[in-house]
Amino acid sequence: MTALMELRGACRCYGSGAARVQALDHVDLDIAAASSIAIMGASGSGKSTLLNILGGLDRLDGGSYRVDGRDISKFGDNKLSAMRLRRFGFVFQGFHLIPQLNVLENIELPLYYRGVDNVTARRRALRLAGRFGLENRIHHLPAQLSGGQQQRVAIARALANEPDILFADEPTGNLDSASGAQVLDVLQQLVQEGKTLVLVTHDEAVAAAMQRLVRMCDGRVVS
Amino acid sequence: MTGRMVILWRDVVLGVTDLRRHGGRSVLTMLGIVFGVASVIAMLAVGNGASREALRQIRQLGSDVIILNAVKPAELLNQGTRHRIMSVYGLTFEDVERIKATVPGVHLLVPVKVRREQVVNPAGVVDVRLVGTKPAWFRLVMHRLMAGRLLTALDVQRRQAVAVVTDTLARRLFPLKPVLGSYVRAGGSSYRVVGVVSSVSLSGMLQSVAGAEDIYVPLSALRERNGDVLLRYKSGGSVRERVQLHRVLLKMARERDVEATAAALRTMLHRFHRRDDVKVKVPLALLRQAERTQRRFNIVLGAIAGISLLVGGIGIMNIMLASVTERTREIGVRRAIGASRADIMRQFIIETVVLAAGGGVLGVLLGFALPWLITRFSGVDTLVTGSSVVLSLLISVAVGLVFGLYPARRAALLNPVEALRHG
Ligand SMILES: Nc1ncnc2c1ncn2[C@@H]1O[C@H](COP(=O)(O)OP(=O)(O)OP(=O)(O)O)[C@@H](O)[C@H]1O
Ligand SMILES: [Mg+2]
Repeated sequence: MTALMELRGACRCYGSGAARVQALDHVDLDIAAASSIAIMGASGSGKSTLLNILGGLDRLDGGSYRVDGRDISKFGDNKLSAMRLRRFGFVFQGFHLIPQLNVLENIELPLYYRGVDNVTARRRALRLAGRFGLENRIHHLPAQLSGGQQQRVAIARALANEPDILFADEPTGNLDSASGAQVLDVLQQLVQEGKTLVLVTHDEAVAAAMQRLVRMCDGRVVS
Repeated sequence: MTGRMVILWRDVVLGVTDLRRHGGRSVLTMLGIVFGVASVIAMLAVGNGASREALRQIRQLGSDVIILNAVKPAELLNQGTRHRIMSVYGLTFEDVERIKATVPGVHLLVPVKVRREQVVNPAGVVDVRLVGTKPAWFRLVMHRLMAGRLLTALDVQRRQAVAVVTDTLARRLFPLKPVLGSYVRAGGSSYRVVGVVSSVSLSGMLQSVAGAEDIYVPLSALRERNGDVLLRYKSGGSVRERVQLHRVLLKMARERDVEATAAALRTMLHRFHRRDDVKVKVPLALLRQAERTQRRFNIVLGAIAGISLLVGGIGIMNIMLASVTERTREIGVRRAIGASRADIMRQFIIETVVLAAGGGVLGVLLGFALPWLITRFSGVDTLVTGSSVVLSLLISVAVGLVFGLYPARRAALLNPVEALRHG
């Protein structure tokens, strides 16, 4: 069985000359569909860089990256954007909701870029808001929500276009343990529903909840 | 609404929301556009207004016409009513003979005598203007004959008390009776109505040459019945005026003779009318004058419009660049979600266009005020047309598009990862 995501000899470096940093150094990594994987490592070890590459936000300087056997490192910007829109969902440490949009509008946003009509979009957003216990907050602005609520909105938004792969960069990093646990619970449920989850964390407990663990050091996968 | 339309509409709403957040800043930025658009409208309004009157005269009279008007000299105007002095001024029959004898190339010469009178009929009092003239009047002024006949040489020769009335006046004077053959009593005499013509309204810069309230009668008949003296009642007394002819219309055989002839007439009339109680008006020259005025305003307003729009455009570009920087992370988030470069580009272009068009709308409002002020303080006739409003709104949208392009491109080309790390 070929993996869903397949990284071969992946290199990514920043800067030049003396300031040159090899953020990814010939990384090989296979991730199976419907699995969950945690990426751990010291600060600056290249976790976020790896996640951004996997999520199609960033491009490789060398090596290849295949999704479903197709080398998306050769994709143009439009095809890559479409890939993110349809198949990938992102959850960030800082929530990254759009401050001037309310909860529903934030959740609807990916649907608009998809060209979904606004009645359907509204219906889907309401369903997602309900699922994550936000039904009483749908007209609130992000600034009026707690961190845990904001992160649940972000997860709802990431799920709006029903992607099959979720990328989460320290999703619980800014949360207290209770809301962190709640968010982790939500993510685990999604894996059970068949989504693939790639998660970066500093928290051993969070990592332990994943099916597989990868450790990074200086841009290399060490285990 | 489906698909792309939805995104477009969302972008407009978002754009407006964002602009409202920065209300004061947005308005300041819009000022350039506001003034630019207002100048465009004012410029077109002056152009339209200046030529409108002259063009109308020319359409109705032809471009080969010279008009001599009797003008009450200033010293008589200020005389007041106490002295009971007879004011004598205006064109004379001698002038007419002199013109006939010495000015070449005159195709038609139409002397006109005017008396403002009131006609009493069962319906009430109707203000009319008795216009004593010659049959040539109807060859010079573009009336349409609606019923009956026009004045003839025989009417003039026999001093017949016959009248041709305008259709407007006919309806008011004889709402129930047939018009032709009825009598209208004005200035102490009765005139039999022999014809009805369409009313021609010629006024404005040239005073009232023809109007809807006109009754055309043979000059000889009017003169025989009322003489040359007009008694005018004013508050506190009356003024007596003796005017032989109030107006002489000349139609030249060739248009190119108009201006030279007008100059010759001025010289000649000045010799016999030292008090300048006769003014020579040339519709063609008025049009030229209007065009000159228009050009002057065009240069000034065009420069203001150009500079304002440029400054406004740059201001808008500036604020949009600031907005892109401020919202870098938002752009990164949108890109992560799956927005393409085109999506981001469109969003910022629409915002810029909304901002510019908002300025355009304010500019249109100011654009109505500016011509009004110009008319008020410089006397230049202005006319704001719908097409100039549409045009200037289009210009403001175009400014938004042009100056929105660069900031929108900047936003679209941001690296998603770096945009996300920003701020
Ligand atoms: N845009 C950039 N320009 C220069 N260097 C960068 C850039 N992005 C990342 N780096 C460098 O690449 C290396 C890997 O960074 P990355 O963000 O992937 O680390 P990380 O493992 O996610 O760390 P943390 O746990 O602190 O989030 C670091 O040394 C970092 O300084
Ligand atoms: Mg990181």
